[in-house]
Amino acid sequence: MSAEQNLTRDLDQIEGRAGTMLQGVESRAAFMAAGFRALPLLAAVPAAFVVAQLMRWAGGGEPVLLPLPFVLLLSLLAPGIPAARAAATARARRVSRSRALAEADRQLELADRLVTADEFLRHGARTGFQQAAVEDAARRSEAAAGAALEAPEAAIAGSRRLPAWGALSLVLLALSAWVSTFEPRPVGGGGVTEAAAAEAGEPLDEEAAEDAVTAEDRAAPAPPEAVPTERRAQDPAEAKRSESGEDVDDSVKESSGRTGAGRSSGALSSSAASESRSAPSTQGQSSKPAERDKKKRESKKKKERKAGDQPTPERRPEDEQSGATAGKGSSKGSNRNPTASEWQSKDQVTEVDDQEVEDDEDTDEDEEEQENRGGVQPSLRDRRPPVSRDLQIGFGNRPNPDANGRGGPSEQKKSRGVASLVLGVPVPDRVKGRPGPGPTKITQERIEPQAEEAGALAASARAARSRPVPALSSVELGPQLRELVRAYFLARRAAAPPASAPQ
Amino acid sequence: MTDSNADAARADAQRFRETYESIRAEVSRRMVGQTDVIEGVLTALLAGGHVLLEGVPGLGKTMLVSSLGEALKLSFSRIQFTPDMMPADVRGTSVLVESEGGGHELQFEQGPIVANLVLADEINRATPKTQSALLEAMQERQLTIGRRTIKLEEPFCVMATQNPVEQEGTYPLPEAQLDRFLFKLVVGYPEEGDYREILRRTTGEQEVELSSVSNAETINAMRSTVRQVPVPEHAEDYAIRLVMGTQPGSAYAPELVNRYVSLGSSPRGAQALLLGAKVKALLAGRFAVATEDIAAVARPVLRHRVLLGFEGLSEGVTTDQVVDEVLAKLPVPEEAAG
Repeated sequence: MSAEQNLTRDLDQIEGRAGTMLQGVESRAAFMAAGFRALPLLAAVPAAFVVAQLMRWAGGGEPVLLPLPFVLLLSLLAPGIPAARAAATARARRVSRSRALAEADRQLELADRLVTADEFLRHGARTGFQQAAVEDAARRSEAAAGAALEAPEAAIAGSRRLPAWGALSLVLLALSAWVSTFEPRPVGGGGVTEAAAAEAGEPLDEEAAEDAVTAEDRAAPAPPEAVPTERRAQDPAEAKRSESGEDVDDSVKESSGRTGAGRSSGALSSSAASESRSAPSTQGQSSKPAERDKKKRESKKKKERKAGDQPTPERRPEDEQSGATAGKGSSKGSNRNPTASEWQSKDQVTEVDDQEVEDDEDTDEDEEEQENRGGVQPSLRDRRPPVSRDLQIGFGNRPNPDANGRGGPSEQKKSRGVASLVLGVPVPDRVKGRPGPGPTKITQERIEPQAEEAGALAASARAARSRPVPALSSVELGPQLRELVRAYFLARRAAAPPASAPQ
Repeated sequence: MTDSNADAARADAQRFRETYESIRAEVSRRMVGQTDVIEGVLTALLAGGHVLLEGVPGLGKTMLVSSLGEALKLSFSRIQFTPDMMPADVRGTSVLVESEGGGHELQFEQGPIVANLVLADEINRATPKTQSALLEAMQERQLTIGRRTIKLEEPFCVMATQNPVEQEGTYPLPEAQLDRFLFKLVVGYPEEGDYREILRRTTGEQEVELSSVSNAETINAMRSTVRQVPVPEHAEDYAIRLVMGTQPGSAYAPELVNRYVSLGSSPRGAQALLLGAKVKALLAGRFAVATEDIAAVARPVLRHRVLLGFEGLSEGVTTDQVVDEVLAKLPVPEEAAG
């Protein structure tokens, strides 16, 4: 068997081992990555379970749906399913030969010898260096085929979130366990009132609180099997009361049976009172003493209302208009304060909401018109009227404010023709100067030259200086001039007799 | 494909390593330390490129190049670049000379660039006009002056030096000029242990005389050997992606490049990477280029081909950091292929 065949066999073997190893690594990495991505499911399952428990409990049922260990198992399985799927997909993917050999090169520190030799082996005609590279790899491939390969560690993002999601999941499981301990609660009108009050964020008024307490007192000693009977007994009474409309306002009729959806806090505060007024009647058939107390309280309240509502004829419509009874309108009545309605007339009230609705309608109409015209048209609202064609003089650059742009007869014209072009504001001439001198005239004359006599000066020796000479600025000579001066002095020294040495 | 070809290749590679080692040892007799710089200069010379040496004064940049000239027995010329230097001072010009018959004629006097090893000392002190006089010589290895074209003798290598400080009165090299340098080597301060040897050699009575251990023919043969080293596909891919990684907006550019780099490397960068990697592969005793050879020369090849943007300069990012980031974020081709 030749060296190249041995090399090919070794490369195949290395590729098989490295490929299997890389498949395992990729499968693990995919499992972990998908698992970390699906971490929210770890908390989603217990969260959904808690919500289901609460809904069932609110419906009056037993809050225990499933055993807690089963929920825990479901929570762990939820992120595991996509992780297992990703791992299976990664394992099914084949690792390329070059990648497997490159991994072996990297781990065995062969500097790409294996992957290079594998590539050169596929070449039909090899150069000297390529053949040398193949032979070089063949010398090392046998050792490489027997060497152990370690699975590289893949960095997986998202592992930091595991404690957070795990803790959240545990908290939800604990919450679920706590919810499981809840007693089944009765469902009735009092419950609706409580829910409405809780949603409004305001405490129940005294009557409602008392009613709730009474209802609980009544419900507590009653045997469990009595509860559905009581509920059945309440329902016809409530239906009867709603049909007769006895002692219940229209608005209350509309809002009964709803839990305050679509109301603002102000509306809820008032609707809570109105519902509380209707509540005793719904519960009054269960016990006689309670009914008597309620009727007493109700009659007392009616008296107070009559005393306080003497000007009832005007007040009643205002209450309706102010939305104090709530539940009537969704948003329009919500921010109307009944106390403010005493001085507000219908003409004065122009709600912002109303204005916005009108604006929206206008805009829609405009858009429709524009579409009918064949496209978006420029806004013509701010278009200014055409300028006046009156022959009236404005104020400086400003247009005449009396001009209405319609033309036609206006005030009597005070000027005509040329006079109308005269500037209304006199502008002084700001250019100052003097008239120019005019064209320059040059005259030439012929003059005979005249001789001038220069006075001859006799040369004289310069007198000795009486004071020391100050520092004189030395003139920097150019290189050529310096050479000339140097040559001159050298020539003079050469011509002069040698000076006697100083003693 | 014969065994004799493989044997010849092995012999060439062996000869290459021996000659390289002898040149390096000879230069190291005068240059103390600076091993990386010496190897970088030799690598660039044998890869057929030019070198830009950057370092503060007094680190032996000029001495390194002149020592190399002595050790290689090549024609060596030094050009001291000054602000008043003209292109004709570098390339040469026609001068009026008196002929034998008493007449005058124009005679071309070639400039100092016509040599094997040219030391362009403080190249950034010359004006861009003069700097650009080197462009044709460095790339085309010829000079065109008027109607005259001079083919420069191989090996031809320009080794330029520049000072990173004292930028006043200097002219930074234009990108076209920088791109023509195969390597940009940063000369740092010597190690503490090297100082004693430097002082002993430079302040004593005896001067180190270098002997020539190679010549132009040998250098040309070594260059030919370098060119024969094959480059596998994965190494080519790696070099291409490395160069593309320096180009902002490319598929391989990391965030640092996209944010701070305004101009990436040109295809000349990929050529330089492979040529430098071939020398490294031969010196490592291999017969083909590996990705680690390319990574080894990435810094000197790419650091002067990457142009930082304003934000990068203001943030104090260096081109070496950019190259390191590209190397760190760039997957090896096999890993990327999966």
